[in-house]
Amino acid sequence: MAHAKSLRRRVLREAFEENYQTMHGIAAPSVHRRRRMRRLSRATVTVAAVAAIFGATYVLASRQFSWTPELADAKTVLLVPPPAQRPGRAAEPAVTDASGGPMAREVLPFSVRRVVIDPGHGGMHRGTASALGLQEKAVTLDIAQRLAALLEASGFDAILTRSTDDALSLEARGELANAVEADIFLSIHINWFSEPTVRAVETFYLGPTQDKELQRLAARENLDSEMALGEFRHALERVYAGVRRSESRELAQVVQRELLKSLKTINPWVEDRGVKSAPFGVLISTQMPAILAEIGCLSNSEEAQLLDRADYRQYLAEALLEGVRSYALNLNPNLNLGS
Amino acid sequence: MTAQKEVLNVGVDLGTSRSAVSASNGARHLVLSYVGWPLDMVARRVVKRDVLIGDEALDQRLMLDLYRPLERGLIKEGSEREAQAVRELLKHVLSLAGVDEARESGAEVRAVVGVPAEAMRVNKQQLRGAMEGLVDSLMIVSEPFAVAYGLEALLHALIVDIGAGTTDLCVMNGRYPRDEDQKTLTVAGDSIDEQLIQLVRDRYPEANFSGHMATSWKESGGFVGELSGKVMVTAPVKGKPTKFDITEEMRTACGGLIPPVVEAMLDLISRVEPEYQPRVRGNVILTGGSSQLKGLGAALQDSLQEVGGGKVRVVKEPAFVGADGGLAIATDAPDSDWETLAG
Repeated sequence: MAHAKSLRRRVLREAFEENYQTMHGIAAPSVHRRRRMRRLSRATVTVAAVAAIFGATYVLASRQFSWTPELADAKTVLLVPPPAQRPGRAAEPAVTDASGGPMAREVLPFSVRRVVIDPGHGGMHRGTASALGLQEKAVTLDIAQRLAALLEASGFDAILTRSTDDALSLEARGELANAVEADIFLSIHINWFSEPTVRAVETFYLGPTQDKELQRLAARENLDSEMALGEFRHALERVYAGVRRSESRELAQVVQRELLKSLKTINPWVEDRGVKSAPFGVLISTQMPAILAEIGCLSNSEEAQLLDRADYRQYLAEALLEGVRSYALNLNPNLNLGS
Repeated sequence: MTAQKEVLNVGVDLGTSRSAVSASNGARHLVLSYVGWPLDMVARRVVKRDVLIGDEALDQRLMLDLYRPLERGLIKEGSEREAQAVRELLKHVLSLAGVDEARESGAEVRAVVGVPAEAMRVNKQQLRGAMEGLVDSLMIVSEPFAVAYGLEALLHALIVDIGAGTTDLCVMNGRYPRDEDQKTLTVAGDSIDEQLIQLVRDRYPEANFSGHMATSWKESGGFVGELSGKVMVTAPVKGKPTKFDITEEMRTACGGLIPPVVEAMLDLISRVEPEYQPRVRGNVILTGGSSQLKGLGAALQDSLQEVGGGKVRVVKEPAFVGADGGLAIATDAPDSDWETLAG
């Protein structure tokens, strides 16, 4: 009898936790923490109001990025203090070594704690779709939410650019990552190839490309951008050089390697299309190492069927987690991350 | 001392074909998941309503822009009208449970809604959006989990919930089901109907019948395996009511459900710790609107012979088992959880 009661209590607790995670994109706080949060709630309202004023002032004053109505939905942006320009952060595009080349990574003791995950597309921007109607925006959101939960459980601080089916401009996504002072930015996308037999994984960091196919892919993924062409070019010139680019490349390499290592065991036909640079709008606005991972494709019917399965999406999220963990541990082997 | 706030707990089983609601005030209702708006002014004058829901909508379908807004047990993505239809359906189901009166009197309404086992988080968020403002707190759970909770089958049990849009299977291991504990198949009541329609049209091209007629034939005469009599139905041929024998067509259409369901059952059972597998096989619970096909429970039980045998129990009142389970969850969940899920 007592056993049945405790069993019911446990499953109800787990059901609650899943709902909390669906609502907020993060693991539910413990009962003890929730009680403490309630006690602090009044104080938090006051602090948040003050922070909102500072945040709004910063966003408007910096004028680095256009204000978009979508940004108003990203409450986190306004609820955090203005991002301080931390010395030696990857945000400084001018950081180079004496030769003008990228600075050696050992010079800057980076550490990864806060990860912003960007589920590609959303709302009216559906992205690609399979022949049976599975939409990129739904798959990316689901995987991003799974990854956020895994990251939180591993000791990272995970923040989603969107946790609902809402449209959000590319600039707002990057701006959110900047405002919360993310250490890395990971944008999740699903590819579409004109050749239906192709099943491939590829990871991008920001940079120029002469590849016509990649230019077309970037153009497709940049449809949600609100930047004018001039702003876009200027932003590109500003960020191509510097340590951030080399860190982004390193991050892309690690994530691509871990993705393939995991996927090959259950999806042996997946092709390694490697790590490439391309001018993706969503990566331009960010001030930290940032990548865009095309982790599957909806143009292949078998791949689409896999992506429709919850266990496969969980597998992808776990592979991405391994990529982030490896990158973080490479930077700082002493980082205390859960196993 | 402050008075305890009144609470109305509600369990909802949102189904592709039918939706059920059970509430702590004793209300229990079953509604066809159809929503329709009058096609024009004339239709509006005839039906005398802005929107019709459930049986009324189906009865008056010729005068309505009719929607069945749930697909595979989830909110169908598409037009604005479809989103509106889901909300109208939810409003209607909740009003039948007395939610409007409860909220007017200042009571707090807490709802638990069941969704297919493998619903994506984005689907759950869409549902959360559609429920916004209709209740005070909402918990969304896997439908077979709601069934298991209501039947107190949380340990060593396999729930097989065959609905119209999906068949949900979930093995209960004493924990809230995870991805690896659940499976959702799109082979279910609707796919039986589609196959039956095709087979009957192939054999009797002269018969004039609708999808709704085929569904009612299945509901009254559907079977799996052997049948002592015949399945006879009536359909018009050039306006004249004519009798047809559709026994073989019904056998084939309903029998198509068995292989995928058995495969999914065996797959889920094989994932259970080996020493507990016999207990799970001996506690298979068959529920859902399409579980009432004659001989289905016996056929599934026979299929377990190849892995050492088992027992399949068919739930007697499947229409409400999910909603009742949702109500039980709503009642048992602690207040602190409901407070956190509010808004």
